Amino acid sequence: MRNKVVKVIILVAIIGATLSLVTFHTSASDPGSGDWPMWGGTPDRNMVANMKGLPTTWDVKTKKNVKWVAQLGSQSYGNVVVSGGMVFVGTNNEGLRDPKITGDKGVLMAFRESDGQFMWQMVHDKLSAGRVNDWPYQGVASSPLVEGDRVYYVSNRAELVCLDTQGFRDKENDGPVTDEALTGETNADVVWKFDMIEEVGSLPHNLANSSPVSYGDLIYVSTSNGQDESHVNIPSPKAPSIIAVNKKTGKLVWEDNSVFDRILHGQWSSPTVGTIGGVVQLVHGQGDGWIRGYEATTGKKLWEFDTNPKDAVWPKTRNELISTPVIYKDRVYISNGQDPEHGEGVGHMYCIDATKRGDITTTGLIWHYDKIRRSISTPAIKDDIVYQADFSGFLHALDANTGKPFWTHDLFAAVWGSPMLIDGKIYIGDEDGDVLIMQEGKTAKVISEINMGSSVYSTAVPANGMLFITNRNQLFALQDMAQPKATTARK
Amino acid sequence: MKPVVPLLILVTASVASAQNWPSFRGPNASGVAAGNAPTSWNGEKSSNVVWKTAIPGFSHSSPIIWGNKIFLITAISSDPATKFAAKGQGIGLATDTVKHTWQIYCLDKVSGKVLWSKTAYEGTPRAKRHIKASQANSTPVTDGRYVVAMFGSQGLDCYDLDGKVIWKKDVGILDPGLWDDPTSSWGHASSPVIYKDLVIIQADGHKQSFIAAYNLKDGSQAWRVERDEITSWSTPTINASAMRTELVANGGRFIRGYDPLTGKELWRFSDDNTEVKMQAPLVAEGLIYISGGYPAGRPIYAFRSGATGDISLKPGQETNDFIAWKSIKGSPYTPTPIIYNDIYYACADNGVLSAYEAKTGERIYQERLPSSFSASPIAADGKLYLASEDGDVFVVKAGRKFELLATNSMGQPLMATPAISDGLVILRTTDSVFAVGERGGQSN
Repeated sequence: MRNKVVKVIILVAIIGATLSLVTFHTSASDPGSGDWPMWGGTPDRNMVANMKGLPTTWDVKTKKNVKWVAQLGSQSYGNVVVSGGMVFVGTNNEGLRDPKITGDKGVLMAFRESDGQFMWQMVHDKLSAGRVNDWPYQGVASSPLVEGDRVYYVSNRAELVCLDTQGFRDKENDGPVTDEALTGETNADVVWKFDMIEEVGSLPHNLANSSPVSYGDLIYVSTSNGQDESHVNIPSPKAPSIIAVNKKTGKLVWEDNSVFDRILHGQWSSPTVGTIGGVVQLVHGQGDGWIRGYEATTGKKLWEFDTNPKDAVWPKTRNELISTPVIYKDRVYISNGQDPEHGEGVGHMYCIDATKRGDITTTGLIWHYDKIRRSISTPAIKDDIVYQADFSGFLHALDANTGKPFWTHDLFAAVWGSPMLIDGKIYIGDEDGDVLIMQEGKTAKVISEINMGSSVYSTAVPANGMLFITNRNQLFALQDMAQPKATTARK
Repeated sequence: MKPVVPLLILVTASVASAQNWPSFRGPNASGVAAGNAPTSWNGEKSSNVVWKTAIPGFSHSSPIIWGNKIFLITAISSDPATKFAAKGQGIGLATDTVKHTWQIYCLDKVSGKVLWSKTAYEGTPRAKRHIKASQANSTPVTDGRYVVAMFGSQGLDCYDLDGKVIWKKDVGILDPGLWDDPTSSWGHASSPVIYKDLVIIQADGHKQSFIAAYNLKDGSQAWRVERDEITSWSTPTINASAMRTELVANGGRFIRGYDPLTGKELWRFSDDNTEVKMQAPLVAEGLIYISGGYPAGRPIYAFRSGATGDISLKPGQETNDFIAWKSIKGSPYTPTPIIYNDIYYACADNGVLSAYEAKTGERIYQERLPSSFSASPIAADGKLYLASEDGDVFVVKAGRKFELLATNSMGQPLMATPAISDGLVILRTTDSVFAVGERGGQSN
């Protein structure tokens, strides 16, 4: 799919992204197009949507307000993204969309947004080393980034992959990669791949999972470099934590390895981009529990901040960073935690003044909240209230300026996903498969709780008047059937 | 040890009733004891501590009780630095490449004095363990004639109650680990059960998955069935229903009922997506409660007794005649739930305590205890006892309204499920066994 219309769309998308970076002081991170083209909606990853009329009640058994359901694999950890009439989601191969391809694989599936029709899939073999690099059955856990007719994500093989959003349905084989073995209409069209194991020496611990973000011509991902199975050795200490790759050529532009051999475990936090103090920054939580800010275009390190108390001891009290940082009003918000397999424990949340430079652990600290448990969730911030969930199952509402809690709510089940703020409401899923809807604001008020049939590891994603939620093996497109469709039209 | 006067009164009472706690989770694997039990104590300050006895090494297996004798096992590493990762420290393999000594202890229930101890095995462990596990995870079992202790890959030992070895049996290398990773070996944990003249073990591992029954008197094999199963750590449970007695075994692929005298499979139920089965089947109210597994969002099933053949749900089917109720969520990962006075209590690893109507599955409440749990809850005297990995025993009033009566500190992680007998709660910490009771020890 290569024509002028598409190029215009890409241009608009790039300009749109740039504009949103420049004008990010607006309260929401809604991309404004109706789509939700990346993890977090926009590069600042603040999950706030301006969309209205999304459902607050549905029933997956009776199909009330369920527009369509698509079968995924048996486990789905990534988040849905929606762009250009397509829905993309990572999963494993247990759905056997192609009966000829069997066994454990990582899969990226593409569906038609209007009716859930399966369009195509990209299938990745597992890495031969096994669970140390590529945990069985976890599939593709990266949430893709879509820009125009390109979809970018990280495969379970630690490749940054660029695909054609149309797959081979457009009857074209976009390159430079043109030697795909499968070129049927339900197969993916690979444009390029950047293999982080070969190119930068990364040895991902358990799973490469980074969700890409972009600025200008660059795509940024974490390498997920980490320990080996001994949980003692770092086999590849010289591999970078963060890389920037040219989105057109797939070539490395910059990399940083401030962590070196101090990786506590793995590196599973995805990067964030935003303008802070007039500088476009790439912000990334890294494997030593520090969060770092870089000049986005050059990779020049601007600041670094330690999210652990100095006396903390791994793994009892010292934590890694799995949450994605959020940029809001020149500040960076992040919580630390540990691999879900480590269970629950003490956590820390921070608000950081990222206009400071150097080691800003002290100078950049706006506030520290220590009443949180370990977290792998990303905060959402609106009207100066931060909503942050933790892995023990508490949702905290804090004053974004002071870190003082307004309230906490107990979900009684581990939270893997993140709160999504839509039209004055908080949507959040949990391990019990419940999606809780609460009122935004300084007092806790539950609107409803709806079970999805199995664990919800993902975040509810709004797009074009619909709400997309995955449980372990299904993707639900939810729509308030009573709403007039005109209010949700795509431009 | 403080032999104070009130203790003597207690002694007199206990001899008269001689309340037994003969296996993992006590009488009929119910977790429930009759009679009184204490509410408040403090293991660190010796308040209401009747006695405390140090045990070398460490083990996550529970103490069992017959009459005035307490039996427990331990594994002692020759490297004093050998430890387990108490909580929240993830998955890892402890290789344990040094010499270990496996022992069985018999303590006097009244005084805590060691009546006898025997060394069962010595040598380098034949299997590795999970960093959170011990080299002696299985709780012994007794019928008052024999005590059978399972030392995992080291072997299965039968003693009389005075410590005389009746027989020893090598049951092979038992190495359950990650179901799809044969290199992972987390240690055997399933406890033996006694039915009539047989001791029965379930051992689902990488190399072999089986259930076998041995004659108590000489250790000869009565029957053995190979199981097409993935790894598990669950202890089987005897279900003596009105129509027949069966052995119920949890499993990653199928939940099954067996004839305990012959090993013949009676029924099976397919249980998808629940690979790591650790919880024992729970039998009460004429129903068989099965829970546990991985990944999260674990179901709870209440089956009616008497099934035959394959009672798995067919595609699209939500329930069938043998399912009294089910919940698609709510099961803990590690602790086995308990039924006490018609209420089913599930304490999740993260401290979320949920109460359900045992007959219908209707949820009564959901509350949170501020700790994490591996040990299973037990109950007596209108109270639930929940021993935490942070070293506290939470005492919760049984009933439809949640009420935390006491938080009793023991100062060390509690991995083993406690036992209750004659007004005493017997608790195992990392290095000691405690008896706590309202009238025992210092009360200041």
